[in-house]
Amino acid sequence: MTGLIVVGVIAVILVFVLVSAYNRLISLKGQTQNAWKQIDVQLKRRHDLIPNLINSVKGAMEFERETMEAVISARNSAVKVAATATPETASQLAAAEGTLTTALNRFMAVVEAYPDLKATGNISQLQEELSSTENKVAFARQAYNDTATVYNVTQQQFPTVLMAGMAGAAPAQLWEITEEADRAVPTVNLSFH
Amino acid sequence: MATFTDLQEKNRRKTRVIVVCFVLFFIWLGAGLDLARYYWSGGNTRFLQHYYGLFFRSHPQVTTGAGPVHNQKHFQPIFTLLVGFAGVGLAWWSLSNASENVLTAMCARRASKNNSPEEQMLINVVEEMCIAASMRPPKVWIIPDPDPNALAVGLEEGDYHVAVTEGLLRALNRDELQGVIGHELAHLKNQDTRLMTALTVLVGLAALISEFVSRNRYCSVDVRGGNDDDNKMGALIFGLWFFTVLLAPLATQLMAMLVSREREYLADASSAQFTRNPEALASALDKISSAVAPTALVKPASAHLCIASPTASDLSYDCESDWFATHPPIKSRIHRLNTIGANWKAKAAREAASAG
Repeated sequence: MTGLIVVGVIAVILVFVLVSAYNRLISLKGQTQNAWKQIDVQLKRRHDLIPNLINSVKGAMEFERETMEAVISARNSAVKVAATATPETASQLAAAEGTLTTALNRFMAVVEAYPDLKATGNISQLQEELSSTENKVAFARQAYNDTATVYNVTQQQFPTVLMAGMAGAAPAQLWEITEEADRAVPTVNLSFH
Repeated sequence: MATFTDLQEKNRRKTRVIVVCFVLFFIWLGAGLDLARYYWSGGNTRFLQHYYGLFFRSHPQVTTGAGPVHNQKHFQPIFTLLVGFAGVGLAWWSLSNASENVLTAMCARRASKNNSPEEQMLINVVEEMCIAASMRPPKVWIIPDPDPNALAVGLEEGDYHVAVTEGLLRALNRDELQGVIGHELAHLKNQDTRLMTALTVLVGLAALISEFVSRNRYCSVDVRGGNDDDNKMGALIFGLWFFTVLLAPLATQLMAMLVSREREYLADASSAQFTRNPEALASALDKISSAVAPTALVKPASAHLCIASPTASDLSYDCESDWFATHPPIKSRIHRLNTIGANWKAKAAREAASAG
């Protein structure tokens, strides 16, 4: 009788542990997906901002056509990759966005070289928006990486590792920073102080 | 990364312990009196009638004259319930107060991107930090005060507000502003505003009870009849209770400030987590602390909501052992932030060395 009770208690505890492990995985999965969506939102903001920026400097920068076109084509290919991106293909999107960042940085450096252009209020507002958007992308990426790391580690830990299959948990790819230019994004200061 | 997560967890545990102590203390405030009544109820209850005639008039042993009442003992948790209800009621009342009142009392106005480049930057920085903190953006306010300071109010998501002074916008650069906003958002995200409001209510309640008891000290203990041991026990419990009540205001104030200071360290650590740039917040704190003038528009009652204490005396650089301060000394906050930064750098260097 006592043995039966002990076995029963152990079984109840076991079920409880497994259920909470499963729930934890599902919750982390949701958080990771949500964090991924946040990157998406910010990337879209960035992609929408670029045509505005190009339009407002187009007239004054006719002779820098090449730099502008590099930004536009990098932007368009990034939009295309972003449309179908999932956490499993994070590295492709990271590469496309890295190219865009490099092109944008070159472009902004050129803008800096034209004092007349900088003087107009519209440009400085757009620049603040752009640098803020760069920051937002970086922070969204940071939040995603943090969440994904917790998710990945939890999948390998005991007892959650037992439930990984049932919860359909697969390791999420981290958004690695590959290029030096990309690494510098959060510290780029475009304001006119 | 482990450094700040550890720190956060440690702070959360401490806060939990302190809150439990608070709750236990208030239970004792009510239950101690009830226990004393229980032991005394075998005998003459004149003393208690005299002491708290208001509550004891309806006591069964007083109203029912028939039969031997000496051996009837009733444990009636009147005071436990009374103190409990008073606490819950007061907490509810203060929690349901609109947080915008606090801000309008400071003459704050809503920030807008179109007002000035500084306000555009402020709103952008708030949005950036919200992404890092995974939360919805709060309303942003500007307080027209030349002294650099910032505060957060709000009790639940959807009703969150962050306010900064004009002086802060002028004094800090973008990175430092990020650190300060990160600190304020951490207060909201960690639910510090809610906890501190609850603690303020508890402190007020303790002061109220203590006042009530010490003002009614004129009567003497007059216990006749009943069991001698019970009388002694009752007297012992009552003496202990009386002692705690007299010490309550001091003790609760000390504990509330202890919690407040812990939350400041936690908010600093969370801000470092959001920005990955603890040095910027350290430098912002340095700038804020070097401002000589107190923030005139912030009332003392809202001091615990600010990034740095708005009263000038608390800004003195090294008051290491000020038990009644709402904020830890700025020097030690800067030191902790720099330690976090140094740890991260050391870790990154180790990883780079092992990778290369």
